[in-house]
Amino acid sequence: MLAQERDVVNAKARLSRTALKMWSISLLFAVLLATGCSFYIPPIESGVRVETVEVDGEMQSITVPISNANDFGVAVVTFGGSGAVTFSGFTNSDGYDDHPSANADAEWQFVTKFEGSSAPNCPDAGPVTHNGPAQGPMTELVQCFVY
Amino acid sequence: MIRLSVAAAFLVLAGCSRHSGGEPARESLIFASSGDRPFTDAIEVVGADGERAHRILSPGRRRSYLFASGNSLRDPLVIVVHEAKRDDSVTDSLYLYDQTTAHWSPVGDEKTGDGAGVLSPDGWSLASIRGATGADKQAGVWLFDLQNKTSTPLIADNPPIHWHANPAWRPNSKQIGLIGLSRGNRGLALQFVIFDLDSKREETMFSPAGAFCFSPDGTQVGLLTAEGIEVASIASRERRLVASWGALQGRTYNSGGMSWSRYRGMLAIGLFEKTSRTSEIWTVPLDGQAPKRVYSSPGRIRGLSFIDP
Repeated sequence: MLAQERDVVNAKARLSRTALKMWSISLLFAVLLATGCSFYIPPIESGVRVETVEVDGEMQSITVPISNANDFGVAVVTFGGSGAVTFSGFTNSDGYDDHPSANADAEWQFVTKFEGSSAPNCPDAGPVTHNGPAQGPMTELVQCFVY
Repeated sequence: MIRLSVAAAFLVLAGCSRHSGGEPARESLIFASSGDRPFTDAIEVVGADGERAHRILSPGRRRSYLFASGNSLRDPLVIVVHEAKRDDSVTDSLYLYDQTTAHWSPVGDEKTGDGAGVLSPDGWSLASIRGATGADKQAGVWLFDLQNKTSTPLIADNPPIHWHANPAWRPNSKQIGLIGLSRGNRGLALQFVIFDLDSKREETMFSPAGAFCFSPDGTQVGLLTAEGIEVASIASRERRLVASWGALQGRTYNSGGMSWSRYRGMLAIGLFEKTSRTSEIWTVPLDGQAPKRVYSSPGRIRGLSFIDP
């Protein structure tokens, strides 16, 4: 009789432990879902984007992307990180030229040339020096005003 | 019976009913949100009042999305894919993307310098801009026949003398509106032009104009001019100001896009706020009410347009 009672008590204990485990797992899933803890891959944290725009002379509140501008960059001092220390390229029809391998954690010198671009009368820009942050934004915006 | 009622209630709650005239429950705005680092450009959708903002295409490590357009979120979307190859060369290519199947299909044969592309309202063709950076350097406006999978040049561009940007179809699917850019003695000039597919002729409609959008019936056009946002009749060319630049103080237009709601009497425009350096979506009622900022984002909004659910 005592042994039977002990079995019942053990069975009940096992059952409650299993229920607790199940509840814990459910709670864990709920927390993961609620906090959006999915398999998130963060976007690239390095690289330099060069953007070239022309301010319209007639309607000065409107800017137009400059395509085919020739941009150059040299990292004169690197603070950390890794990646390329020079780049060159041409902006696309949105006015962007992306250099994903450039080490953004550096002091960069930028030069932009507009001969052959959609705004050939823009004066060449640079060299201008900007520090890139270790992580985060690294866009070199080159604006051209031609009136 | 109970099961059927429950299923019907669920469908109604989930908004699964198809639009059958009038305003659909969820007309949205679609746009590209460009980041401040390489390959951080996403495609986002937001409700017409700025609610329910969410990404439909998130950037990967070496792939992002610079432009999106379409007639409905249920139908294939036209996407400009910005991608870095192994040698670090970067390409911009047009694709059709089916959200329901997650299937990507390339458009045309250009594989480097594609720009904005838009589907015709009848869904048969796609008009797009090719940049001068393309392999064959055939810059201009191109038409892609979705049935025959053939590309035809419509207008040859010659930047920096004369070129085109921001294509949009007139609702009759027979004409394409564009911003024509030309550089003369007085600097850069921006105009709203219409290209007719039958006559293959381009006509300058309004100058200067930095952005435009067709009305749903195709008889009028919304314009961004030196005065502000205007609405003009295409036939008579009569125009009226609906929002001056004064009402949009501190903002500039950086290819944010402009679109006319199919169901509400209002326009939407993507603008850039200079002080906080954020992008904003403004809606501009056509009945004289003040324009309203409905959404702001740290990303650069490009190619904003209304889209059906």
